[in-house]
Order: sequence, then C-alpha cells, then structure tokens
Amino acid sequence: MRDQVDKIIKRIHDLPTLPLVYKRVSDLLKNPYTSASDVAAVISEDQVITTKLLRLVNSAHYGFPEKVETINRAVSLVGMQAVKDLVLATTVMDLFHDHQLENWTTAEFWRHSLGVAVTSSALAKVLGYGAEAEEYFVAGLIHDIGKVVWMEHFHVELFEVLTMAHEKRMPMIEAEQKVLSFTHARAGRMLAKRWGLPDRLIETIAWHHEPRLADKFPRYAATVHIADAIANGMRLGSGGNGRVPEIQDEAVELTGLRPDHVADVIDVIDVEYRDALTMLAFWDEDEKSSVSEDLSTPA
Amino acid sequence: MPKKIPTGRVKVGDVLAEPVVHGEGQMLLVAGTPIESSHLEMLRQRGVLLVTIQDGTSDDFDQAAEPLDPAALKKVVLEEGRWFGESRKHPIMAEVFRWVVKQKSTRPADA
Repeated sequence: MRDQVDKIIKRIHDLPTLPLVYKRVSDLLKNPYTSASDVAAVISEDQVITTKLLRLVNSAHYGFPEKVETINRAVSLVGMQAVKDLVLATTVMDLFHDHQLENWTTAEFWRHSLGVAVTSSALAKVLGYGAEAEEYFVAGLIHDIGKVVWMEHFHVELFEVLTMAHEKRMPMIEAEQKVLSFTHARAGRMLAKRWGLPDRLIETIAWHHEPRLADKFPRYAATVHIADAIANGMRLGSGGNGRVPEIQDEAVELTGLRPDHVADVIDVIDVEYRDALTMLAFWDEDEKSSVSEDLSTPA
Repeated sequence: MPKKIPTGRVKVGDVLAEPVVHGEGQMLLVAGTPIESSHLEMLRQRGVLLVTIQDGTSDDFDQAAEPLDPAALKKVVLEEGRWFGESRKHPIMAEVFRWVVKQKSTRPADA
C-alpha cells in the first residue's frame, strides 16, 4: 500500500503547472497599485483565454444587459479578483488530456464540475453571500480536481473504482478509499498546494466531503458539499458516483440553506448550466487531443 | 400565462407580470413595467435571480409540457429513487428529487 501511495504522490508532482498568465495575474493582484487595464493587458496577450473568458462573461450566469466585447470591459464589470478566478476556470480544463474510459469520460467529469460551479454560485447568491458569490463558481469548478490524477495516470484503478461505485451504489470517494487507499480530496489538496492556489480553494478541494473539518473557510467547503449533492441529483454531468451523495447536517447549519432556497434557484441552475456548457464548449474535440481507453476487462 | 424565468434570460422589452421585490421587502419594479437595459443591470446588481414576465414576451424557457402516463411516472420515481437512495430523506434533497421527477415526468408537447 505504501508503494501505491508513493506512486500517487509522485504522479501528482508530474502533472502540469498552471499557465503563466494565471501566475502573472496573481502577481499583479498582490500589488495594490495594479489597475484593471494592467490585468486586462496581461490576459489579452493570450487569445484563447481571452475568447473563453469573454464567452463566460457573456453567458446567462452574468446576465449583463449588453454584450461585453473587450477584456478591459470584462475586468471593470466583474472585478479583478473575479477575473483572476475566471482565468483559472478557463485554463484548468485545457491542462489535461481528453480520456474516454468505458464507464466515464473527461467531458462527463468537466460537465459535473461545471454543474457544481453553477450550483455553488447560485446557492451563494440565494444565501446572500454578496460579492463573494462569484468566488464560489471557481471553487465548485475545481472541487474534484484530484480525480484528474486518476484520469491522467491511474486508468486501471479508476475503472475499478467506478465499477465498484456503480455496482455497490456507493459514492466514488468510498470506492477510492477501498481500491486506492487514497481519495481525490487528498490528491486534489496536494495538487492545489503545488499550484499555489488560494487557501479558500485548497480547503474546498480538501474538505468538500467533510466540511466540518475545514479550518479557515468552512462555508466554502459546506456550500460546495451541498452543491455537489444537488448537481449529482440533477445529473449535471457525472462525478463518478454510484448514487447521489448524502448531505451532512453540519453543512446545512454552516450555510443556513433551506429547502425553499433550493426551490427558488433550481430552475436558475438548470438554465445557467446549459448556457455555460454552450459558452465554454470545453468538450470540443478540436481543441484537445483524445485518448481512448478500452478497459472492459480490468486487470 | 405569466412565467417565472431566470434574470439572465430576461430581454429588453419583456413585461413584468409580477412586481420584483427585494429580499428585504423593498419594491424594485412594479408589475406591468416594460424591461429596459438599465433594469437588467439593476436586477443583476441586486442579485435578483428570477422574475415573472408576461407570456409571449420572452424565449421558450417554459415550454408547454404534458404529463406522462401513470405507469411512466411510476418508472421515473423508481429510477430516480434508486439514484437518490438515502440522500432524498434530507429536506434539501427531497426538494431536488421533486424537481427531477417533475422534469422527467413531463415532456414538451411537440416532442
């Protein structure tokens, strides 16, 4: 088992780093004299990120009355911190290959992630988190980033995890513990630390299955924990679970979420999810190399 | 017939069928108001998620639907019940379960 854990840790260190543009924007935001134009200038150097970011800002999720045509305008409308998050959101999906296992695909995984992003953000809005609400989008988007480690380097084990989760109708994290002795939450936490992500994102990734253990940002972990269950229930993509994960009472207490809140936003989630899928078009085969795997008879 | 739609889907020219009231009870817009560009920006800034507009003044968000027959409905409840498992005992997830069953047990009239 020790060998397996060591192998996983080594593979996490082999994964790609975030694009330079994210680091440059992060560095700019550490300087209090940075202007929106400075941030826009850095982002505009990357045409792919520019295009994707404008698509996202023009989606129903933001609902701006007029089309946002330039990055400069986008930065001034959504704010510099939020734009930094959006750079992360629009680049992280392109870092990895598009895998097609027999019982799961990278596209399904990202659809689930996008579903949790939209749901987290909608819950944050209905719960009155104010300007912070936008930060929940990216927290939801990358909450399961640890699963990418399995997608990239542990196909046989991943197939076994997914098969066990589906046959025994259990959440994927329980099957991971049995098969890999390692969870995606732990792998994701290590990857997020390596990438130098902010603590609120590291804690969300690490504790979205056990939000009460989050140290500094329990509300993030709790909101994404609930959003994960809702997105699974609505079948927004697939997170690899064999059934809908249960919500912990502590998470509900931490957020103050009520059933009528859910009734108020569930149609919004549905519409914004479908709109975000179109806007990001992350499953576009032309944009990625595709790796097909036949694992019908796992070793 | 009035329909409730996400604020992001409201278009300039849509007419409000119900007043928009902020969470703290403040009236933002009265029923009958034709939506203008400045209203959309204000609704977005105030965090208003849904508004009710008069029918025929926006897109096809709320398509006409007809219910499935009882046997098909029973099948949907069974399938979704298996997928939700114990999770639907929680009131939050019970709400999600209701919504999913409602979505799956109706279909667009032209489908």
